Order: sequence, then structure tokens, then C-alpha cells
Amino acid sequence: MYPPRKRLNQIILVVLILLSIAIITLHHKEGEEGFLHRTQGFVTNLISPLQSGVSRVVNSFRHGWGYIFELGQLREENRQLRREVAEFRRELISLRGMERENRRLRKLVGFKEKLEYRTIPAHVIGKSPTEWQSTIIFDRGSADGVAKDMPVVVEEGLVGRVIEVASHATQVQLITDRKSGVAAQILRTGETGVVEGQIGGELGLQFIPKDSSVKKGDIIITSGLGGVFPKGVPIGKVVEVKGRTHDLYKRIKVKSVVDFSRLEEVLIITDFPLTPPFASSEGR
Amino acid sequence: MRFTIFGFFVLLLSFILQTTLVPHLKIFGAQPDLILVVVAVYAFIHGSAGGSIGGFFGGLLQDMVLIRNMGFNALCKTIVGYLAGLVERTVFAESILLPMVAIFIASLIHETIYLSFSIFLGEAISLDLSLWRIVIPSAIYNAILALLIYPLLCRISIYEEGVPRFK
Repeated sequence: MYPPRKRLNQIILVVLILLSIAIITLHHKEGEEGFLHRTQGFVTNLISPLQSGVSRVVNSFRHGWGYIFELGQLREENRQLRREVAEFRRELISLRGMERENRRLRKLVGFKEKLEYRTIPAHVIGKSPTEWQSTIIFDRGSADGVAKDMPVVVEEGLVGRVIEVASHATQVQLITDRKSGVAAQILRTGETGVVEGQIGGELGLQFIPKDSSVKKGDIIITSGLGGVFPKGVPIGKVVEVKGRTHDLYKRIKVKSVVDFSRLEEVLIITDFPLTPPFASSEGR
Repeated sequence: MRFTIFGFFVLLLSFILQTTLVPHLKIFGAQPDLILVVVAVYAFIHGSAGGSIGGFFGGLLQDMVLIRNMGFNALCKTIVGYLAGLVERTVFAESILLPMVAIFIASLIHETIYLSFSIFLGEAISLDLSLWRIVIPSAIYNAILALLIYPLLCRISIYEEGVPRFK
């Protein structure tokens, strides 16, 4: 016979385990409008001002630290140069894409100009509390016009897509999340595949045939095929290409053009026309 | 058995820091789990019941801002909180090294349970990558974090009741 205290501890443990399992089951079974999903939205809303406050303090410390080591002017200059490099890179990618497109489509009658989208700027207020999932919380929500599945970008490239929306906060699934999938294209060869997130924040390009000429340094952009992300947004650069004899596809590692650890501000594209039948399969 | 309002506020603070400050403290891609460390230390001080209740609420807070598998963290941290509480006040008066080792083991158990449940629910996870990129680096980082958290929570608890001091 256990002493009463030990027995009580065991009862508490069993009750809490059963409660956790009940939550896991209910969360899996209920829809987006279910009680637990709504509770998540409510809690995200409740804590977002706290997160926003702490984030501001943390960021000012980070910046202060940067000023000590980099000096104020250097920091601004660096930011300006980065912006310019990103601008040139985007221009270069766009020019290369147009050149290739011209070659391929010159026999076709006309082509659509690239659509320009309306965006909402948003600030990072929180990040995923566990390494098993890659998400970021931003300070904009449904009250600002943000809706589920909207693409999120920065000037360097693709960040992810909106996955949960509260009235004043939004949770975004990063492209590095291991459940994320983005329809992608190798800019040089035009081959299409899917960029998937991997453990450790890396990206893998899947479904590129073994006989592909893809090589290190190739630029990967969104193909627009899934209907979730606009076409032509830079995703990353190929950093490793492998392929075993029995593999059907090449094993390709991609490094994102976005430095997610330094992400502070993003743009949420609000008027990209999502195509629902494909949207769920691309973003998963 | 203890799980006080104070304990809840410590967990809430840990949660806020976990989602704001901690992601900036990544070393080689590894990120500590502040909530897990707090839960384990709380269990070392207050025993299994306090540990499992603290673990449940701490994990649930974490689950609130995750996009899938809600309840996973609550489950893992409840179990770890209970197990950590089993060694309540037995060895930790000796030195700070023992809590660090205990936190390292607690982290390994936590991540192993999390990984097992994910695989059980059909998620395709690379064991090799998970082990070297998340499980072991996080456990080491958490053990180092215990250097700060354990003395801090012990000192606070001394005011509540007699808790053995580390050397």
C-alpha cells in the first residue's frame, strides 16, 4: 500500500495525462471554429500586448548591443546596402526570369505582366516556443484585414503563410517548418518541385528528377503552381546536390534567402487570389 | 503538494520570454526550453504533484501558440514534472552540478516523449536529424540554463519554506 501522498501524486498524474490526451484528440478532431482553436486565438490575443512589449525591449537591447559593436552609422549604412543588394538581386532574378520566359514563350501570343499586390506591414512579436515547429507571431490580425493562407514576404524573398488569425495577432507558418511545402521552380532550368521545411531550419527541394542539371548556386523561386504563393518570389539558393543510384529524385538542400533569426518586419500580401482546391495541398 | 499562484506567474513569465527573448539566444541553431527548465526545477523543490501540475499548465501555455499537436507539450511536461519531482530534495543540496545533470536527463526524456508521440501519430520525422539538431543540443542548453534558474528559484523558495541550499 502506497503512502497517501504518493498515491495522491499518482492520481494527479493520471488525471493530467488523461486531460492532455483529451485535448490532443479534441484538437485533432474539431474544426477551425472549434472550442480549442478559438481558445488559442483568444490566448494569442491576450498575450500579444505582453509579447509586443517584451519584444520591443528585447529588440532595443539587441540594437543597443549592435550599436556598441558596429557603431550607429555603420549599422544604418549596412541596412541601406542590404536593401540595395536585395533590390539588385530581385531585379537580377526578375531579368533572368524574363529572359528565360521570353525564350520559351516567344511563339505564344502575349503574356501577362506580373501582378503587383497590396501588402500590410507587420512586426514580429513572438516566435515558436519549441524547435519542433517554425512559426512567428505578428502584430496584425483580422481587424487589419489579415486572413488565413495569405502569403508573407520580405524584400529578400518568401517568409511563409498565415495559418492562424486572431483579431490583433497573426501566426505565420515559416517555409522552414517541417510541415510546410512550397511549389517551387529552379530559375535556370525551369524545372518545378516542392520546397519543404526540415528539422533544424533547413530547406529541401523535392521531386527534381535524377537527370536534372541543377547545381550548387542555382536560385529557387516560387512557381505559383500551388495557388498559395505568387509566382517568382525568391525562396533560396541551392547549397548541396546529392543523388544515389537507386533514387528517383535528386536530394537538394536549399538555403533560404531570408535570415529568419533576424526577421523583424514583414509584408503580408492581402489581395493574392488563392485557389482553394490547391491551397491546402501546397501549404499543407 | 504545491502549485502556487507564484508558480503560475513564473510559468507565464517564462512563456513570454520563451516566445520573445529565447529565440534570439540560439547557439548553433539550438534553442533552450525555458519552461521545461522552470517546471523541472519547480518539481525538484516542490515534488511530483507540483511538478506535474506546473508541467501541465506550462505545456498548455506553450501549446496555445503552436499550430498543431495542441496538448503534446502539456502531456510531455506533465510526465517530466512528475518524474523530476520524484527526486525532490534528495541530492540537490550537494552541488549545482547535480541539478544540471538532472535537467539534462529531464530534457532528453521530454524530447523523447515528444518525438515518440509525433511518430505514433504518423508524422514522418528523421530520427537522426532530430537527435543531433534538437534533442541533444537543447538538453545541453537546458542544463546550462539550470545554472541560472535553479539558484534563482531556490532562493525565492527559501522565503516560502526551508529548502536546501546549493553550494
